[in-house]
Amino acid sequence: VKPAPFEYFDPRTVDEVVERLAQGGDDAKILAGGQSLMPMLALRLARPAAVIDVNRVAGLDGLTASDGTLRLGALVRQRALERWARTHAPLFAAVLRLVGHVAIRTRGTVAGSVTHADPAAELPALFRLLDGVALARSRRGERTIAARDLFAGPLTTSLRSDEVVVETRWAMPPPHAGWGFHEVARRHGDFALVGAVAVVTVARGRIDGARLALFGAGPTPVRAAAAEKALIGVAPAAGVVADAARLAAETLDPDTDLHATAHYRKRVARTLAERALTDALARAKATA
Amino acid sequence: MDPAEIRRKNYIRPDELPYDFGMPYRDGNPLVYDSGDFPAALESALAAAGYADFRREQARLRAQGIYRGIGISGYVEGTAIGPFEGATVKLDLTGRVVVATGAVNSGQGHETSFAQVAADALSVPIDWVTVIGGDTAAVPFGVGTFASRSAVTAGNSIADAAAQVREKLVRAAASLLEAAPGDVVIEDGQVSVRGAPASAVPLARVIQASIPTFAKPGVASPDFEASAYHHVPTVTYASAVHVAEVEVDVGTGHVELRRYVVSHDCGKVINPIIVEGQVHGGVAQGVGGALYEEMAYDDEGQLLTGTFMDYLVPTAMELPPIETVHLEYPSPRNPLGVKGLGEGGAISPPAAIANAVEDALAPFGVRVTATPLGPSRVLDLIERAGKSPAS
Repeated sequence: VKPAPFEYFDPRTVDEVVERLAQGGDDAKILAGGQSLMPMLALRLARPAAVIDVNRVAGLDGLTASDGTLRLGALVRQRALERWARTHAPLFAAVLRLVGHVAIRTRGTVAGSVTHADPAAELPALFRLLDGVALARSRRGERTIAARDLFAGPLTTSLRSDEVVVETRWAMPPPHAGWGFHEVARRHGDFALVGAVAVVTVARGRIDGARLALFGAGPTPVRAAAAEKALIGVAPAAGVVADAARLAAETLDPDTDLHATAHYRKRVARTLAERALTDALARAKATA
Repeated sequence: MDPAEIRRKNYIRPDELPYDFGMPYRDGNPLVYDSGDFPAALESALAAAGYADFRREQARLRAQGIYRGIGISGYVEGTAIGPFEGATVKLDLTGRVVVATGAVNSGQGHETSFAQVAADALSVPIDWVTVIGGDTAAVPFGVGTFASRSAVTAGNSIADAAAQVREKLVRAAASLLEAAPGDVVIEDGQVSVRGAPASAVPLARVIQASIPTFAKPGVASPDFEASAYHHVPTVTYASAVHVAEVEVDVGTGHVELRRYVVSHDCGKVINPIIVEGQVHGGVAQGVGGALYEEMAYDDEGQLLTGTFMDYLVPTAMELPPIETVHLEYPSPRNPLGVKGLGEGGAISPPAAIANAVEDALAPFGVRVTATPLGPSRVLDLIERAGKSPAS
């Protein structure tokens, strides 16, 4: 199938982008890497009146890490982040390796995946895990949106129709933190049926920081607040991890679809949460 | 009883071949297995898969909570249904060969395999041969490529037509070289009189000498063309034993295909690389049926897997190394001794993989009765079997 007709714009500045968005409103879509939008256009699942191609906008490809924050311009490709992450952020590298395939990551942008908000995608879950912040621009100005406020539902964010994300910010785990990431997908590169990603820090024999996010297990990626809370202040042990994983899965309300039942997702979310936390604790470097 | 053992006890023995079932095949002819050695296929597949070692390793790993299984599936397939296929072979002025057949290539390398058959029959270099498929202006009658039939039906027609052209060449060469036809040798595109290598002339010289001039007639008719419509008496029976090794993650239901062995007989192998490619491609499709591909419908009869986003075909990432053992038991039913191959690879993977998953999950009492074995279905099987592995 070919896309329904649309008007195409390729602005060169963010100001032009937000101008077009202000005119297009709900009927305009931003095109960056195109790895989700193009198939949706081709299948006519999306029929925007206007497509605003931001690939030629200058200054959106910056990747800087300082003071524990990673700042990514909206056009940073997933593959570029992956290459950087191999030597700087192994958790990012592990997660990105399972985002589609190399060809997809070479075009696909990090901000595009985050704002596409697929509940089974890896990057939105990582964004949620690392208390990400999206910097959004519109003709009215600039605002920041925290990850916990960004994801509103499947493929739905709290971005307004005249806003474009120009940067994503990620709170990088400290160097002594351990991480764990597990997912089940039908095939390599497919969206996950369910997945879990965790970061923990341990000090003086006790867990003093714990983050756990689950994806593919509900309308948005979720943080397992009760599980995180239960882990703080306790000594790492298998029983503690199993209890936290149980808590994490308890509140989930996933859907049944062609590839997995809700029961499956809930049950395996627990298994994967346990594995992610176990790995994270094994990787955490003890500090005095 | 071990799954290998029950097959050892029940497979048809080679001394029972040809094996007459006393019933007709669907082409109306008696269903009689022509050739093969099914126990040899079983043993060679088990040996290549390291079956005995696997059983020891399996027990050791189970004690660690790692669930690996091995599955066997054998088949005998009636291949190359008739009634015939057409082929025309002709030479041009330089001795280059054009082969035309009704069997059209759809990616399985006809241009190579058929060129080999023609080049062998004519004793010319393979790169002299051009293969044309499905052009009714080049060959009027044909049937087509399906039912694992082209090597048998078109291959033998090409061999037959090429042999007729070779006879014409021999007669012309005998006249040119002033020798008895029985003394004419064709080798690598050169024609000579037996025992007199200095007499060698290029094939082109024989063809050109056959063309009449104003001064004299040709040494023979310049007709270096023949057609054949090889009729097959009935199908040939190809066979194989497949062995799959899997590891099942009992926490997620994910099935990892670790190894895959195919020990097969397609009669005389024309081109081992193409045969391996056919087997690998077939296995890939069979793996799709075993683990991924499903025509799923909702309660209203709406197809849910109508695009490749949901109808999952395996990619290179999902396929294990495939080891192929070639067993050659030529078919007595055609001059080339070949059997069909195209579809065979896809027959056994669903059964071999389902058996392997069942074997891996034996401690849970799992019975596999449906594919594809996606993780949700596998975990469901484990839960429903309701048995905890005895530690």
